[in-house]
Amino acid sequence: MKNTLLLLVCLLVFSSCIKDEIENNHEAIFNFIWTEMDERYGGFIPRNINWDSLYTVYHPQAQNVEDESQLWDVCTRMLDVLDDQHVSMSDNIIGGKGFASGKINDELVAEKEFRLKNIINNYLQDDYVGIMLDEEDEEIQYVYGTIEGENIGYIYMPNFGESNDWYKEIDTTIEQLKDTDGLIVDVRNNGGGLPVVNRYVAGRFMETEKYIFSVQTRNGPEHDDFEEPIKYYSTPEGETYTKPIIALINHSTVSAGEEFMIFMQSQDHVTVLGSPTSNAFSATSFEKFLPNGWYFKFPTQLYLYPDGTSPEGVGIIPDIYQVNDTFEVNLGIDRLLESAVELLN
Amino acid sequence: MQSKIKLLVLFTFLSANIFGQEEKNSRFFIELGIANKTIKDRSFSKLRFHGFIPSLEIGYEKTDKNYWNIDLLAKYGIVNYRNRYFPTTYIEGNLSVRYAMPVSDKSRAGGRFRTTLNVLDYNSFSNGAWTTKHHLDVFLRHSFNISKHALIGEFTYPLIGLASRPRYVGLDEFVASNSDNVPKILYSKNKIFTLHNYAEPTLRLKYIFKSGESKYYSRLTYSYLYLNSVNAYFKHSIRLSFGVHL
Repeated sequence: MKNTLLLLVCLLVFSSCIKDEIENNHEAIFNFIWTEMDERYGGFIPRNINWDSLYTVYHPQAQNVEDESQLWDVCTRMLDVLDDQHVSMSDNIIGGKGFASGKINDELVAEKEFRLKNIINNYLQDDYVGIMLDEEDEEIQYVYGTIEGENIGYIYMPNFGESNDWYKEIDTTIEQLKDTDGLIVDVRNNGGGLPVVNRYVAGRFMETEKYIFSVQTRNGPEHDDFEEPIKYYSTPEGETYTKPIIALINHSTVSAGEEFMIFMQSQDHVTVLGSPTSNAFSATSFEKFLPNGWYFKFPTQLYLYPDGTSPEGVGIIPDIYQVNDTFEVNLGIDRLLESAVELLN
Repeated sequence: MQSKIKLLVLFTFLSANIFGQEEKNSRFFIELGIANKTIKDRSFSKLRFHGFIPSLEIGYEKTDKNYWNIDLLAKYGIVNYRNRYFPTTYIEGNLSVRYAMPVSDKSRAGGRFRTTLNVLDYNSFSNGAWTTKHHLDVFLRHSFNISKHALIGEFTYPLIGLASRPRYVGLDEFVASNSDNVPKILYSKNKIFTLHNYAEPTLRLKYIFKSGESKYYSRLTYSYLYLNSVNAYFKHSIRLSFGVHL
């Protein structure tokens, strides 16, 4: 009854009834981050994370910090344990601090194991097609063509962002490369994007339709509270390329790039070459705003293969493991690409 | 900002005094205003956002024995947190149809149907929330006349509505897999809302200075929204507008 009366008073008059629900102090900010993750993050189970124990470790540290810089360090150390590049935080200052879980060590190293310029300059025939993602790009991003001296096609997909229209070229690309004996689909350093885009592109390489994975989204405060799974199938779309394909991946193949690879790896005519991908599949939450101006976001979903295992925390495991040597990359050599050509021959 | 609002109030009432004239029975109208909004949409943020949002309203009304009104209202502007962080685009559009029958000389009672689209968009939807709702309201209208001054008060309160809101985590697989079809996201997965989880009292006061042929008027609109789906949405709004009968 009291609550009803209070609600009625609020309804009738006061905007002051609408209050912030997070206090602007160090402990409250830490608690909000921990609680939001606890109630909405989708990856605790496949990543074997004991979130309560992390609270036990980091909460006392958050209570004792003296300034925001120290609070930042405590929060990011806690989030880094997840090794999930979709968990990120920013201090909302231009040129300020940014953080992505698990990014600092292996992803940044992996990025240096690939240079598109090497492929264009040293491996492709001169009649390749290159598309810049936007006018501010200094370098060509989306590329397709044929390997010099071989009847092998090559496609580089930089990301699956909707604002970049390269994906609309995929049918033209397939048409141009349909007479090749085999194809190299390169998604190394693919930064991800929208699932609708990677699914659109993947359909052009599908031969056999089958159930390949499901996605569930958190819908409650317990770590295993999820909506009913939505199943995805490898459905051929449009003009498809079904000759032998080598797909190239590395540890900087992230997010929608990884989901694209679930589709690709499901097909018998595709062989995956490279190193395990980043392991950040799920769509992220919207950004969560903090009263000190920071914001953070995190994934809320669970990806499962039909056998019940999850690629989260693991990534796409290549059929053949190989990494480039950064020293050779600096010399213009791409051993992965050379291996792909050998395999296709 | 408060002094600016006071000036706007003064200007509006002055303009009504200078130009305001007798009401016609049926007319089109156009109205410009500014709304002082406070928002906490838990789907969007647990922080309170605030802003002054410009509005444009056009419509038609007929006042005979019964009262009819149809209007289209659009609001577009920026809200942010503590006038400093997270500037967010606020978009609102709604279509209302009101009908009321006389219950006394100066009072009418009836209903209103309203359909609303409300979007919060931070940084091209790196964060965002939406509310689309269609609801039936009780509608009361009363006229006060003192000498040449006319004040028309209107009150609406929703009885039942159908609304689409973001789900528990905001962006679920339905949204992710339909991101190329925004209307489908905005108008799917509706839930019924009624008195226990939806309240939106709205009070409108329209002032006219009656002298000769009626043309200009001013209006003050107060509303409070409480819509509790998985994540509750609170909104408080005071809008001052001035309009012209065409």
